[in-house]
Amino acid sequence: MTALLSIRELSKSYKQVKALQGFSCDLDVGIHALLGPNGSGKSTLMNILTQNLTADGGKILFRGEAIASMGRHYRERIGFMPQNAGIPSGFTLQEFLMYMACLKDLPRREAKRQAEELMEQVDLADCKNRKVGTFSGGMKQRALLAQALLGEPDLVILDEPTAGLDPMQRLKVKNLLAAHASSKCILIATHIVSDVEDLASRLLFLKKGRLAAEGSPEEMKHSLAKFFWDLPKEELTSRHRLVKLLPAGARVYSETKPSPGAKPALPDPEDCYYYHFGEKSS
Amino acid sequence: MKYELKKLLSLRFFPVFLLLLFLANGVAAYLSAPSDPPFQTILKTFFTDYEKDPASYDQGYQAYLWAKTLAVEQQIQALEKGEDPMKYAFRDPVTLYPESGYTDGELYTALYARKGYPEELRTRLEAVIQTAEKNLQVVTDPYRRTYLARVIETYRPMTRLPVSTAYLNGWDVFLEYEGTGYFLMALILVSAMLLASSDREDDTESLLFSTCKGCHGVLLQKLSALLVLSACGTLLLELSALAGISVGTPMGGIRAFVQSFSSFALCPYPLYVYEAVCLRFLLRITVSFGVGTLLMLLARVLPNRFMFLVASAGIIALQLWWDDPAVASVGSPGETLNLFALLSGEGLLTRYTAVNLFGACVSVPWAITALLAGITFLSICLLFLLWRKRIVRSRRKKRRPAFCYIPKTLAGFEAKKLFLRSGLLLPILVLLVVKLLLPPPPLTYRDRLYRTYMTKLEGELTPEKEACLAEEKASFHDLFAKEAEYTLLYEKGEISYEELASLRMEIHSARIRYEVFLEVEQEAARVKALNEEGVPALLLYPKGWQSLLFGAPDLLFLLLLLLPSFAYAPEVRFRFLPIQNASAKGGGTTFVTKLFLCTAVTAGMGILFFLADLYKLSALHTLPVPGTVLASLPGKDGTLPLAGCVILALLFRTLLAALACTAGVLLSRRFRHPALPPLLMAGLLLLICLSAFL
Repeated sequence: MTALLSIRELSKSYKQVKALQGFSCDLDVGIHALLGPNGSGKSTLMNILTQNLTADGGKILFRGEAIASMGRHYRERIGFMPQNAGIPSGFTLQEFLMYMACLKDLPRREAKRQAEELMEQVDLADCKNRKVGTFSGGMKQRALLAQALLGEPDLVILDEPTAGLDPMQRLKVKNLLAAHASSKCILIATHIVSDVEDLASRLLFLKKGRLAAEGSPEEMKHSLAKFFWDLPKEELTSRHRLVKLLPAGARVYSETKPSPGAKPALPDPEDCYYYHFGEKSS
Repeated sequence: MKYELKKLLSLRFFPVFLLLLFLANGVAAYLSAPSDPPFQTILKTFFTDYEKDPASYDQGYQAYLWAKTLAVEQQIQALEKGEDPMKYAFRDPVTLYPESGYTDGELYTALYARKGYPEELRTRLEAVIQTAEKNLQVVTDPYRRTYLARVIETYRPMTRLPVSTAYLNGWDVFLEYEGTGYFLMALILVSAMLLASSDREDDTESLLFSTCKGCHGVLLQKLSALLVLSACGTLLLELSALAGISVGTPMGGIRAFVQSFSSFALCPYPLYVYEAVCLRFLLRITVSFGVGTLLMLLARVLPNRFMFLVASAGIIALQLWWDDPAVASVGSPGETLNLFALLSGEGLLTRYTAVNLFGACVSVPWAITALLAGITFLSICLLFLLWRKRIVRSRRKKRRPAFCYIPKTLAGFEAKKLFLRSGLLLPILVLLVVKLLLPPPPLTYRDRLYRTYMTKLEGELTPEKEACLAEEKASFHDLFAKEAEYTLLYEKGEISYEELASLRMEIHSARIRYEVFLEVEQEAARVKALNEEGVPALLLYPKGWQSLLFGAPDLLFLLLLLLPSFAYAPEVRFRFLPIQNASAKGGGTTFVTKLFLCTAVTAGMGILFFLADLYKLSALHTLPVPGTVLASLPGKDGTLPLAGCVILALLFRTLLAALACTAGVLLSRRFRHPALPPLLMAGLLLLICLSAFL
């Protein structure tokens, strides 16, 4: 069966810097987390997927059809929330969502219904007549998330959607995304691994423009299990590659058993992040 | 301060803009210099050779004059004998510098004009002193009396000033060249706008203000940067002008009094050339810094760059208006203390000037000092007061629910975003109000006379009107003939001097009217000739129609054409562009919508401006019949009705608006830096105006 979104050998360079080098993957319905350090190419990939940038090479297929030839028909099916985006401050929230609906070519009545619903879902229903310029950072983030979900897009691309949100708001956002995951392909770029740990059905590790690893959280954990050990405190020395401290000891990275008291540990996604991007990796 | 300058120079377009300014100034200075550089070079050599052996050149000049006089006598004799006088015409020899091709006459004329200049200067100064003394005896106004006394006091010692007779060319051109002032203003305008608003646009203000320097420390850095830009900008522009002029004209010495140049003969201060250059340099730095602080204040207070550009253009237009000698009255503060007069150093270097400040006669140096100090001090104080307030105010915006109309279409949203939310509607309305209220330029005395004649004669050229013209001409000739008669009567003692003086004044005034009458007569003859050819031309007062249809570009309309370069400003400012581009209609559809809106507004306003000008034209005098042909205007041909010309002009404006909007919206979409599209657009419009003008 054709994947919702197929990316093949995507490449993009900025003068001497190769932001993406032969990136390929298939995305289907569900939540996919794109993890990588700063400069790994996440934003470049997002901008190419949303047609803000043109790739130097490769192709992107949406339901088997190249997005370059689909043009606005492709953009009708996507929602985008970029990092550090702004909203014209003179608009009220409702006005802004109706404007976005107009840009997405939604019928007015349907747009109004969806806008009302989304404002409820992101907890901004009582601010609909307030100017966006008066919103706090977290409120703006939620407004941007609401506009990304407007129009019931098939593909939702979110760049750091939980940045600037307090824990309660992050929980609500995660729940909202989880609710939409059954009918949409949601691609979340982040380096807050804990946000996507329980949410994402698939993790994509992007390193220097290439896909370093991909798989479900469970697959990732089990594939890297042999590299992570929990040591008791007294056995920890400076020659061990420390991943993180634990209440009773420490988790270390080692290809062989690092000390007599070490026990194999099942890594969590953060440990997987360390494996791909930490000091052990070249 | 160095980081503020670095921030400016790190903008890709700014160094390019600076380079273009310096180049353009150099080219403009070169074009303003005398158009014969080889002659100037030979002239300089001639002056140097003369200094080595003046006696032999004086002898040569006497021989040259004698030969010329002899030739004229021979021509007169040939005429008396009925021979062809051209056989004896004087042929200017080329003996001094044969390889150059310049005649001895050209060189001698230039040299001896220079040698005779000290006497000419003395005569001129004495004439000024005498006129002032004579007027002092009749004038009663206290300001005028003080002014005249100071003129006498200033110029009397100047009659003994030792002016140079050496080759000094080049420095007069440099001192007269005013282009540097205009380019300097462009530099200061852009710099002030960027310094005042770039941190706000980048959203880094709150970060900068939270440092130990605080908002006032940041402001001080920016003011220091402005001062450095004023100084370095002035220096580099002066150097580029000097380079441009010196390419065309070999420069003379600088240790000569500036009064050695005829255009600076009446300079009230005994300054050497290098002192005058330095003085003007310092004056330009001071003026540009003072105006820069005012522009920074404007950029800070106004909500967007379009409004700032409109406001700055308004200030500059006002200065240009005051600088127009036809507009400002002599001695008025506007005439002497407008921006461009200050930048050119007119008030200090060309003649003794004072300004009438509530009856008091204030000399220009004091007036300049007070004005610049006042503007700079006030602007800086207000800047310090308001610098922080913008941030604080934006956080404290009222939170009560706002009623708003939600548009139904993309065009509605774009119109609201561009004109209401971004505040572009206000400057557009300001431009419209200025257009409606701006009076037409004042007419000179000659223009008023011409208008009176043409308004009386308006319409078809009938035999009655021709007879009227002939009668008027005859009355002029009768009056002029009376002068000889009255002079004779005065010599005989039959009339008094007062009666003769009275007639002479009447004749003097009549001569000016006669010159205008001759133009009217010429125009009537032209219309008659056209009527005989079958062209139904009419007599009409043409000036209004000429300025409306064929005059200088409408500055207000040109300002309006900057509007489309702000089309994407809201998206860029709020970093909304990626979201917009990712939506179905965010790309091409939004572009077309913005283009349509900008074109509709610009073209509509352009038509309104044109109709406003047409209305003012009709208020000045009655409009001709709609079918009046184009040939009725002096210098124009064709049987196209004026009404048709009006329609064509409107269509042209609409087309121009459409083209400008396309360029502006494309620029706005292409360049992310918000200052770049309007600057490029302004440069493009300036180029188009210059090429049409040239």
